[in-house]
Amino acid sequence: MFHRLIFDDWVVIFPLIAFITAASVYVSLTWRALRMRPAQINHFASLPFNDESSTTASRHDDAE
Amino acid sequence: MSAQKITVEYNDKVVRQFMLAAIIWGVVGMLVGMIVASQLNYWQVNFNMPWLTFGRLRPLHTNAVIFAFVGNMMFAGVYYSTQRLVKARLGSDFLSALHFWGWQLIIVAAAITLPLGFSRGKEYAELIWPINIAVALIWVVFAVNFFWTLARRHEKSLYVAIWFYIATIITVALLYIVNHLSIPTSVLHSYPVFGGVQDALVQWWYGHNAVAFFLTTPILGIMYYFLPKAAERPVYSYRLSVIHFWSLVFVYIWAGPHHLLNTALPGWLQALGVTFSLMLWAPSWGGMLNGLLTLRGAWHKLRTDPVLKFFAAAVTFYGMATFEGPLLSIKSVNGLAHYTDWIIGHVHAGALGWNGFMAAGMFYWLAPRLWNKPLFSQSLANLHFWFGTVGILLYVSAMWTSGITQGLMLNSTSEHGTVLTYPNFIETLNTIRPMMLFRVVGGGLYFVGWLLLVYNIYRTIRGAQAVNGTIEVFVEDDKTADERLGLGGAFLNPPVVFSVMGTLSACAWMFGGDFLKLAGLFGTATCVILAWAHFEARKNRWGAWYDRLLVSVMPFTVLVFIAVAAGGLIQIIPTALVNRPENVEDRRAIPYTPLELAGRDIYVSEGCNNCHSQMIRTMVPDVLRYGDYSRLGESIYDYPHQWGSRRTGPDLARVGGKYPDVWHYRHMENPRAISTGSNMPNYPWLFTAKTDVDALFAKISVQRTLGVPYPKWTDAQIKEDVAAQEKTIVDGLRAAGVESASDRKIIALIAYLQKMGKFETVAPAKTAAR
Repeated sequence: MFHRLIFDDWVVIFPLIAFITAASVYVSLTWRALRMRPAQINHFASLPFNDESSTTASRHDDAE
Repeated sequence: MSAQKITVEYNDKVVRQFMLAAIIWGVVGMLVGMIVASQLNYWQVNFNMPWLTFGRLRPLHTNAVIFAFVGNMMFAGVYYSTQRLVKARLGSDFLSALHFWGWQLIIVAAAITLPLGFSRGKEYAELIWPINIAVALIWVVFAVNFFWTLARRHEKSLYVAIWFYIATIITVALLYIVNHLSIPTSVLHSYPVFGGVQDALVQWWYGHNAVAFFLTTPILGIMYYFLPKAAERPVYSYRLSVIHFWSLVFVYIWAGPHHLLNTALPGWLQALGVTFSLMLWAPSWGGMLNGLLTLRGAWHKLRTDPVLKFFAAAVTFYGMATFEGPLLSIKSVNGLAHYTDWIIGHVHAGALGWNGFMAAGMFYWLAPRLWNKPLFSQSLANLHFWFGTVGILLYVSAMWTSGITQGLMLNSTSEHGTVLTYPNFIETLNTIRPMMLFRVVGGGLYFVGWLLLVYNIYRTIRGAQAVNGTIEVFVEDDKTADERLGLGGAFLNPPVVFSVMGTLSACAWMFGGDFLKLAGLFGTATCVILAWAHFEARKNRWGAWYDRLLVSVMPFTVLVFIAVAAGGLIQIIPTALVNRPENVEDRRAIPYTPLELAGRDIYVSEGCNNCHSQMIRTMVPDVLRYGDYSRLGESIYDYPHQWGSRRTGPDLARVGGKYPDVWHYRHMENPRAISTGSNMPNYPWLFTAKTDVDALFAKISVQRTLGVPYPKWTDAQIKEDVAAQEKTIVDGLRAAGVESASDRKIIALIAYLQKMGKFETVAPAKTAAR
């Protein structure tokens, strides 16, 4: 269709490259995540809690 | 060591503002959705008015839902959770206000310009260039405000939700800017800098990742914050959330080409899109299971707590939609589903189920906390849930049935694949009409549910006092400075150095010449061995780098940016460099005459691509129905491309010359007079409005800049050319018994329609080295 400059014969290799790239990412990140210390995990997982101690009325100029 | 206790008051005003805006725009977006769905069943709902036609309202619906409804919801969730996760007030009250009001102004501008027919002609990117600039500026305001907040944080660790927000901010900026690069021809009109296949690739890189990074990653961040809060237990597996984040960020960005399967897009890109789409199954389902399992031990609460009900259903719909997405990316499945209602069902499972239900759950959870008053009615919220759930299921099942039915009918052949079983397109449309009606019923139920939310929230906040959250924190001398990475430290460390060297060597190995190939192979092997040896010897350094990365915002952001940019650039750069008119083989488009160009701009302005594709796929049924498959070069001068994504009407790639001019004239006047049962609107204004010939000089100049081989015509020459072609068409119409003034839009549109599918043959290219 247009100049077969570089790619036509390479089609088959792209899924392989894609797989190797993604597999490397999965493996290294899974390894990294599994290596996280329990204390570290608990610290991160509890971050959404204890994030608010009270509420205060919105200031007068803050009124919607 | 000195420590000081201070009280931080969160800026919840902007959260309330964004939340209320999302609720209101949700009503607008869904209402317009109901209207456009009804128009597909009853053409009369177009009311013969230009600003109420399907082609103009459908972009309003999609933009309202994506940018107004989900956008405002996302900003509310991001601002609420970020402040609390980092224990700091937003960076700037002024920027927060500017962000809110600027975004609403953009939405209003979109709501005015889209129905008026000002469109760039690209899906989810229709807004005209001045609004594009405003969006980019307000997004920068959001980014500055967000990162400023992180810079002021009193919690050094960055929870995974923050990672998702960072990925959202930088990726959306990248996508939006690249896909909206345009050259203006006037204050309200521009042409994109990419044309034809380049434009298609960039558009769907953007379109796919708008779903990924606007409708998914920020909502996942919201899920990781609000779901544990509502369930009152930490996320099921923080480790899994880490894997979920990184694998999504690395993989999602590559999958865009799955929107262009079986088209003229080069095969290597299609293969890449399919492969990465299939790989998305793993992270998406990992995240979905992580969300659902967070409810372990809290399932009993679902019976009574509407917030958890909404969250659980939303995460389930996320799982369903992310299962369906890769499935639809399999080439053979896509051959059946693409251009049909199956895709519409798929996106609505995500938009209504995932985004809409996450929004509802979040708002029911937020309202009592932001106004310090219990929710007006739990029962009403539960009723909303059931209205919504039944509505989605009706909608989605109707669209699945409709899509598969129409896909099967359109692709069905007999006589050993040589004859179409259903040659008349309208027959397939009439078969799916009952399903299209069920879609309106399903959407209607969902909309009623949303109105219940509006009433419930209104009664909750009426007369209530708005409150802001506060927290007391101990501010110590900054001990964390040593733990953070500088920008240099982000790159000059073993994992990054070995990865970069390994990647470069692998590229040389794959794409280099004889010597480079060998050097690349050697380099790759050396990098792997050295990295392994270094890792074994200095394990702590590798681990410490990652730990420090998690408390270092800017290095983290830069690395995420590189991860997402790589996926896009690897696809776009070769396409932009190679797919040029001079490289095209076989067939090349003939540049449009000035009148045809004016007609094309009318086609774009009316949003015809919302129903008609211009891409005959490399599939036997497509070729039997519409003619020879579309070649890459045939749309090379199309700024913007109009390949389309849905066939409510037939493909138009080769409609030129298929019918006489008078057929098109009568068809645009009243489609049903030509094609019984058609649901296409009438276009009476095209017979009275005049073609904007004066604008053509600037338009052709810009097209010339973009590479279309137009001569350097003067304004007078352009007008002369237009008049001559108009006269030819009008004379032909007169001979067929129709009188028309020559300067009407319909004449320009006919000129364009008759040009479609015309091409010049190009000599086969010399392929050196072969």
